[in-house]
Amino acid sequence: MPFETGPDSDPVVVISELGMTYHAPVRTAGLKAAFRALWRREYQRIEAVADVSFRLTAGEIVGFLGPNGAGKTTTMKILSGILHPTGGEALVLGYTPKRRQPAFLKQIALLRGSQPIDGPIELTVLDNLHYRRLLYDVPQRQFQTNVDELTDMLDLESLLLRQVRALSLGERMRAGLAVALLHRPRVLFLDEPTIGLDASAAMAFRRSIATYASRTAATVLLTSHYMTEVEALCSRVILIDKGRLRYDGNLAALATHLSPYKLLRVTTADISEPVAWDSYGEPENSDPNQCAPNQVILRVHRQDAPRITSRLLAEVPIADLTVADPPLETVMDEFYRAGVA
Amino acid sequence: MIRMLRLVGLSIWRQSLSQWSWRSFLITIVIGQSVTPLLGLLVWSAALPGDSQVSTYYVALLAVQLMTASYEHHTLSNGIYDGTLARALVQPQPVVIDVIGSNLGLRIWHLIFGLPLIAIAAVVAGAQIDVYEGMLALPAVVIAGALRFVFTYLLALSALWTERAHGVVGLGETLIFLLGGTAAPLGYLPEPFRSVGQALPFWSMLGLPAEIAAGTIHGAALSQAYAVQLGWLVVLTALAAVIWRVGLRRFAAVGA
Amino acid sequence: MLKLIRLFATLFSMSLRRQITFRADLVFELVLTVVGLAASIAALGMIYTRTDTLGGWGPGEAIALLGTFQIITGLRTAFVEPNLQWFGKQVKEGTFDAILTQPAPAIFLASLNTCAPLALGQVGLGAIVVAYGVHEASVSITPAGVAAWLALLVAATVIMWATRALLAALVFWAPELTLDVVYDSVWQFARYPVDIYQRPLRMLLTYVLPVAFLATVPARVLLDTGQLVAVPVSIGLAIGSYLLAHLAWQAGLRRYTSATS
Repeated sequence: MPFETGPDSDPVVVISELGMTYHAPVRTAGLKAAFRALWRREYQRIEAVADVSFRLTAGEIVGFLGPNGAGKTTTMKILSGILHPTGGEALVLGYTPKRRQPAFLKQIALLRGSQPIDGPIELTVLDNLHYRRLLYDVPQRQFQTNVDELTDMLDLESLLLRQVRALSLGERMRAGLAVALLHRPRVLFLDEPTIGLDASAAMAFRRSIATYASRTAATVLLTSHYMTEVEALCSRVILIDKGRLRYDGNLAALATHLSPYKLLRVTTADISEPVAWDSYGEPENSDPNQCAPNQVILRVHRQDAPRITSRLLAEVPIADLTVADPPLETVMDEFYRAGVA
Repeated sequence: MIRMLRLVGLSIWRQSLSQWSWRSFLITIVIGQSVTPLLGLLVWSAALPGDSQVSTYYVALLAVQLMTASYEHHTLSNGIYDGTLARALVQPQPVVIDVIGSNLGLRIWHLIFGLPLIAIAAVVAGAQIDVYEGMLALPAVVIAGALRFVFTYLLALSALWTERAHGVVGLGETLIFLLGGTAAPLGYLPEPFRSVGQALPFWSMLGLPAEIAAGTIHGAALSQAYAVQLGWLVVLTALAAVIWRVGLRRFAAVGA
Repeated sequence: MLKLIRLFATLFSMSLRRQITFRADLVFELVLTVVGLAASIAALGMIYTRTDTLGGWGPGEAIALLGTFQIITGLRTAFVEPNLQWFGKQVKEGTFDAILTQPAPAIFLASLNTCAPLALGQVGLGAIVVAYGVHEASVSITPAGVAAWLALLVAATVIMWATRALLAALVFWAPELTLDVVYDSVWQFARYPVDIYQRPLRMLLTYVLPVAFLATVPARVLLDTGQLVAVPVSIGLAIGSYLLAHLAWQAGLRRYTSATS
């Protein structure tokens, strides 16, 4: 719906040609090198983010993908005002994040899975919420409504009066999310939010995020290494690698974009007759959990898929044949590994 | 025994190398260790202007302080709190070896980084250390180092029972400051404070070697002081061994 | 500004409520404070067995100074150290990032985010020590002297907070440098009258590092009201050090490159 009008279709996050370059001192091992570094330091230029542009509109939940060190967190930190970019421009809700204006900060939240909740750990969750109420100037009545809503959504009832130090990781994450959402941020940055959570806690977390986003039309930018999470929440993904934008678009089309292959799952009608599968495509290492004895999965180049399909239908006794993109998990794995190599 | 010594030597080597990697911080803790002896020097020089013996004493005390510095509340207690003790227990050597290794490694660095400071203090304060008396003090420094290590180790073991081991060690350091000869040279105190102070273990950890080096203790008093020092070393070592065994049983039971 | 004060008042009352529930901690903290303070007074007493005056200060006066030092130290331990101690480590571990996303000036949030109310026992004991010292010195103090002393305590508190924040800001330029221990070491010089130090050191501790303004100057004004000129000087210094800290933080945050990627 790109032509919809009204304030909500204004881009919430706009970044253009964003760049972030560090100068990191180079350290060589050994005593002698350490002594030398005392007076002459060598620096290395590291481009954490280079020339990245994209925009997000209200109500979108966008997956922000890339291997470790790709620049995802750096971009998020620029967008939330923590880092000053060295190039390009970032606008969030019309504000320049690095100026850290209170009016801007009151409308965003950053939540990191590695540090779900900050502040003194001897305080209770409710103490933390009260502190945030003052910090973010949430009116008392609004506070009560929001706390009730969050308690309901995140099942907080039993946590409210407990000290943060005594919470498990999953509980900490729930509390952290409540604290982050108390002021009803219009933009939510989630940095690997479910890292280390067990499967059911992660699923509950995803449900809460989806509920919040649909209820408040908040924009969510989410980094995650769990493709199931991205698939559950995001229809659009942005992929960066080595600080550069590699893909921005539909999640469904990502596999098509990244992988030059298609997978043909062939079920033969007659297993007694051996087939020279190699002559059609590359047989995948067949996983007995996924394939029946009369099934085989062939990996073929995308443009060859129609031709090979018709050859198979003509030459082999076929009971069933499906053409699919490789699973996203596999595609991402190949993409990341190619990047590292 | 030979194997133990070799393990300790190896541990000193390993620990001191890793300590070198945070050398800028090492320098700051050397300054931190030096501040109480230096303040003592300044205050007592102001109180007794022209008394060269008190300056000599405090410069010697500075050196002793650096050579006996102990941080077992960091190396041992924190290891108990963050669970690295469990890992150390798995290794085929007594846990105390790495604690000793890191202690001695730190003391070596303290002396190296502290030497310029000691030299400057000696020149500015006009300290006069006699070579012969300095030699006499050397065994006392070694015993004082061992004594202070055992004492701090003992207090640091409180981490097995309480979360406040740093406070407990801090309390011990206050006692060393007050009764060990930093707040005042014990020889300058009126009786009975002097005799009581000399009989307590704190003076043996710090003030005694400095007094020997400054030449304020001779003859019978010297041998008596050595006897007290050795006596405390035996007592505290035995105590530490017992406490360690009891504490370990608790650690195994509670998994602290 | 009002909002910040409300924020910290709330935080303080929450921390206090949590801390006093641990009675054993309360007792232990009190024991530590009492022993430490008693040791300091005893150390002074030992010196005065050999001399009547130390840099022009009699025993009672020196004790009043020590009490003043204890008050400022208590305030530092209660409010500032829990936040800025090992600040470089906080930055390295990324906890500082969370502060930057919150809608209030980072320097305040970073330096006053949490507190240790039990350390306020040191302040109370320090006040008692001051009263005892004044009594021992048998000088008559005037309301003006007490008022000036209080004003100087406030100024000293600001100087303490600002210099500590300034030191913490160093992390933005030299992340590997941790000078907490050095600050502590210099701090210890304030427990005696700066008059006892030799001239170059005294100048250093008065004009370069404002150590003299932490305890010596307030105590001197309390005991001798003729020195009131110290009040505007000290307040000016407090404002100056605040501005310096503020500027350093602004400049530092501009070049801040968060630690975790």
